[in-house]
Amino acid sequence: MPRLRGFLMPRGLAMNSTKFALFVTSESFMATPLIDCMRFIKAALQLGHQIDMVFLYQDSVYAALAEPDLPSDEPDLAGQLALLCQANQIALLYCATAAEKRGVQQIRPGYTLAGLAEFGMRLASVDKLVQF
Amino acid sequence: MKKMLVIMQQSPFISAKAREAQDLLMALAAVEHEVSVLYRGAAICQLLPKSNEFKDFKDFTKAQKLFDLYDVADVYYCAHSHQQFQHLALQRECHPLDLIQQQALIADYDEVFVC
Repeated sequence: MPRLRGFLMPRGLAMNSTKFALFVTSESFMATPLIDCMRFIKAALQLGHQIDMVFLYQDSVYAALAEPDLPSDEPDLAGQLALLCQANQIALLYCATAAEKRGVQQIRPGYTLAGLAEFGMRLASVDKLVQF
Repeated sequence: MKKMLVIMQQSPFISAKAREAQDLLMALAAVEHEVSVLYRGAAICQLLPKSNEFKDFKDFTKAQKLFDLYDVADVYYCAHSHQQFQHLALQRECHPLDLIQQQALIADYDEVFVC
């Protein structure tokens, strides 16, 4: 009875752990995509799943920009994402080409340069892709 | 190797997103995934022959000629979207799908990207 066994398992341990890759393409200064991404990471980890990587593509690469000049009443969501990934050993990757084209050259700590080919190769070892 | 579908929705004339979606498609195919592409909405413009529209910037859609070389499995387009473009001739051979067929198609892939 898998459902009963699942119910009895300690919180945080899922019976069938899924390895996710998160693919972010939405514009990162809009709060929703990064907030949704972080909520997903926390919920998945709490349920015992794994997050292999977060890959930033298209306009989401602005999140990797070092020292953004944010208004004082806006949270630094990109910084929070970096801390969350760092604390949970999740690769936080951004597309080098997409970033270069947008002038994103000074990169904040926690973000790692990658290419589309590397993203594609890593996908071979994940179970599910979720796009934000 | 996984079966992947890239759904193109962007016009080639408005932003870099269409170009980047095509780059993603070709990169995934280059690392041996089985990749197909579906053009919908304004992305139908990526399949139309270009005349003077691209004279001032690079026509990235020419790289569609490389799809066979990259082993892109299938190229589909939304028949309903094509109708909105008066059924203009497309610059490459691809398969039309109605909305029901698109739903069935999406269910057949391991991963689906919407760009």
